[in-house]
Amino acid sequence: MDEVLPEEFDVILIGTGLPESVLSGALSRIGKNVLHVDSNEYYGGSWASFNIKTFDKLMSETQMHQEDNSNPVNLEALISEDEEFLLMSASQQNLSNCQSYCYLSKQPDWVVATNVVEPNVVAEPDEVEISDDKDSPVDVATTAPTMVQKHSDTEDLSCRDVDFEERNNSDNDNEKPGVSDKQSGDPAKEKSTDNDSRNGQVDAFNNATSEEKLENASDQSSQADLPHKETPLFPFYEKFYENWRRFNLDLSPKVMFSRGQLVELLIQSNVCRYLEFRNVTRTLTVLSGENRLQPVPCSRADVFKSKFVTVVEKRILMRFLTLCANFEQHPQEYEAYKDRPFQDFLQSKHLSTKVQHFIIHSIAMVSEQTSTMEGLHATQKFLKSLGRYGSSHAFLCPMYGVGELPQAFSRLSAVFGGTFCLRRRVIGIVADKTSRAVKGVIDSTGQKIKCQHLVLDESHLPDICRSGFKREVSRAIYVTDKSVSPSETEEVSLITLPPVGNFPLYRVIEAGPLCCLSPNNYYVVHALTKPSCVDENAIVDLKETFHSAEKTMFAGTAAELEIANNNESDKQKPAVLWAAYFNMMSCGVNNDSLPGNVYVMSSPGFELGFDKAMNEARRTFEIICPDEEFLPRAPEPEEIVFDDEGYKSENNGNSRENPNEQPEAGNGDYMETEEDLQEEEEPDVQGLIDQEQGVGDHVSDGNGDNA
Amino acid sequence: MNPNNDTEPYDYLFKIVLIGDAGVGKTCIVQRFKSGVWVESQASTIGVDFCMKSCEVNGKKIKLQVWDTAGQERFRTITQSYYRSANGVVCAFDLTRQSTFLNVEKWMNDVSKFCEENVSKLLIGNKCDLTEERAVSREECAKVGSYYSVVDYIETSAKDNTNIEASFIKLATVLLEKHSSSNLQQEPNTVFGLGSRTKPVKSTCC
Repeated sequence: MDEVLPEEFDVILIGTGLPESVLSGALSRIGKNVLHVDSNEYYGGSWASFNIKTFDKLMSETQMHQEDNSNPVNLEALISEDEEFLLMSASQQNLSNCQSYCYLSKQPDWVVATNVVEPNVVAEPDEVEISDDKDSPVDVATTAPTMVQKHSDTEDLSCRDVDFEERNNSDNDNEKPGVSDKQSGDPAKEKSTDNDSRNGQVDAFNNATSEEKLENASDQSSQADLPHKETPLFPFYEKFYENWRRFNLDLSPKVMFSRGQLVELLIQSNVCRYLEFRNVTRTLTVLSGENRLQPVPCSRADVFKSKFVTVVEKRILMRFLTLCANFEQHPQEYEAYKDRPFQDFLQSKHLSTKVQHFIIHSIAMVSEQTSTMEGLHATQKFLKSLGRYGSSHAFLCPMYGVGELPQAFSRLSAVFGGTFCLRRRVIGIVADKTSRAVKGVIDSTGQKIKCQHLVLDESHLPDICRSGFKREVSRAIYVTDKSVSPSETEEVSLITLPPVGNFPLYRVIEAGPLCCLSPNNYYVVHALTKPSCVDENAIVDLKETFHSAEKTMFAGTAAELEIANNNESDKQKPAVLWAAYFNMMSCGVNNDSLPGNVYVMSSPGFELGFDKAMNEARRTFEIICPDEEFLPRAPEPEEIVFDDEGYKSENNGNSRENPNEQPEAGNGDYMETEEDLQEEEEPDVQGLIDQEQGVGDHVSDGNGDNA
Repeated sequence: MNPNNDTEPYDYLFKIVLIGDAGVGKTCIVQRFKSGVWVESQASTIGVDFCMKSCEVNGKKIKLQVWDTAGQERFRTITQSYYRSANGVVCAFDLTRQSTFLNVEKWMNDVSKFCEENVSKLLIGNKCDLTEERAVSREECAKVGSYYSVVDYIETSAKDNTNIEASFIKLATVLLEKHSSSNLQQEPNTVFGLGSRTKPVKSTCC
């Protein structure tokens, strides 16, 4: 691993998070000589996705994560008199308050151990807490003796349980006769067949549990003798961890606006060929005073179909969204409200409280206090994305998690000659004493590597360039046994839980096997909120922080529900089988102490999309290479001709439009023609449409205005 | 090279990823397979992502999408997503350098970690033309191959064009058998790429 790197590069990038990776790809693409290093053994930094075992470890090891056992470097020999050395921060982890819990019981002895593989983890039943509070000096070794295995540096964090044999069981359960030879790596097909089996299993499961309850009532004592009849409510711990590798849990869950910068860049640069996506299929929220998730009607088809808004509301909502989609053309409509809160503007348009809620929280995704202009822009951004990939969807999420994105851009960088080196720590920066410009870096093997420009992710900033830490996002991840709002087909949901009482606003993303985020029969729920606590050093009980969201979405933890077995708890709601909580930190940059040719990429924040990261990468690229194109299209393989002298790029693709780009639905759902509208309508709402004919007229009028 | 290669109809499309230590001749193998060319110097592989090549096996048109490591094997920093949705893996080593053979274990571990369980693996000992410098015996290699349940162990020379095409045909044949015996339904059209037609491969049944 200590192979010597080349001595000089145009640009060195430290950290393989999304903005760094995008930048790395863009720089390599135009021929810059790039070195991209990461001290971690995985790609993605704060943007990575992990399997569930690795996640457990991450939660328990955030402090010891970066132990440095390399030989001390003799700096004096490397730094000349006219150079100064800026030491990199020793602690590079930007997670705090980390905890993870598994609420499942260990398998009792009486269960016939057919087909069951013992995972190489040992755990206490019911609740295993793995905690490592950066904020509190807790001895991790004593609080969490279980599940924690010290990993060696050579092991791969993304998958370090090599000796954990998993392939000889339950994965095969999923392979039904007839599809057992299914093409490997074809998640969609797998899903389509598994979907049926999953539903079947769920039914069987429900039946079993009700049978069990009868059994419980009639004959408690015989249970131990009749193990085959005792079907527990939840899978055992061992069963749950059997498919540990099939979880892809994001450190920074986000969704892509279909017309956001990331999507445009992926298409433009051809990086999309490394990735696959799913639509976010529904938007849910909770109306004030209620405790139930409801679908938010977003597209025109949704609005027509929605049972939650009246005919009058539909009409007004339609008209309003059409206005928002084209608001620049109608300044008279909002002129008076420009600097007033968005909510006032909504009220002036006679939108009902319910519809206002939908628009503020789920469509514009702003707050009541947001200015009208900002609210209009946010609404328009949403509406523009609506319908690009699927008529009523505005968001995409990458298969296998957000962690795939930095990897895809890293691949682009490597394809165009970028040198990648993981598990390589840079211990400090060498700068010129007089000019203050960075001349290079020194890594933990004692190698000095020169560069013209240096790009760092925030967590790699030298201490003296930092100005304090703050909590950026509080996060919770849950693995549940069913969707928060079960439906016939598996959905990918974006959920907004507006602030209630003392509890903050939560944004929630729920996805499951469809996106390859979890094995079959499990769902992954990502919840985010802005930390409310002002004092950065206070110990925050994140479980408390997320209490309100949990109450709304879940029936309880598996451990709680096992105890309350006979209680008729809310059967509709899912149980939490596993949960993790943490804060993601960010630090301020002290620009005075930062050399001019050093660029700092910020950590992922609370924002839902990727525009911030994309802007950062683009801006930095424009500073480093002012006259170059940012991520021009990469050539297709057949455009590269090679002869006896090697490969030659036929053209670099700048001139040619991607011929196969998917047809796009104009400027969003609310810009379509009346014909499209008619096609979208469902037969079963025909009566409604007849009533609503005026709405259709209005929409086409709106289009006419702008034509 | 057929410029229309990409638009030809095909029955199956398989993604094959190439792995193995730096310098074992992976890029030469791809080049030889793709165009029959042998290139001594490998300084300029910039911009090469994967190659497409059509072949016919048992009367079926097979398209192989062969992915190269883009140099990320040098510091063992291949992205996990490189392995995603691969149907086949070709693990290559250099018959004249024992270290590259010993590292087959590491590569196979990566495969078991990151690929689907039923991925088809092929082990290739390259540079078999250099008989004088040979550092590992055929028996040893075959043994390691069967330990990792590869579909075959084949000795190749990209330079002499020995067994290169045969290796890929072998893998394609195995993949074809696997997939033609299964009763695949057309998948629901809910996974998609963003506009490029070269998204990761799905085999379709005709």
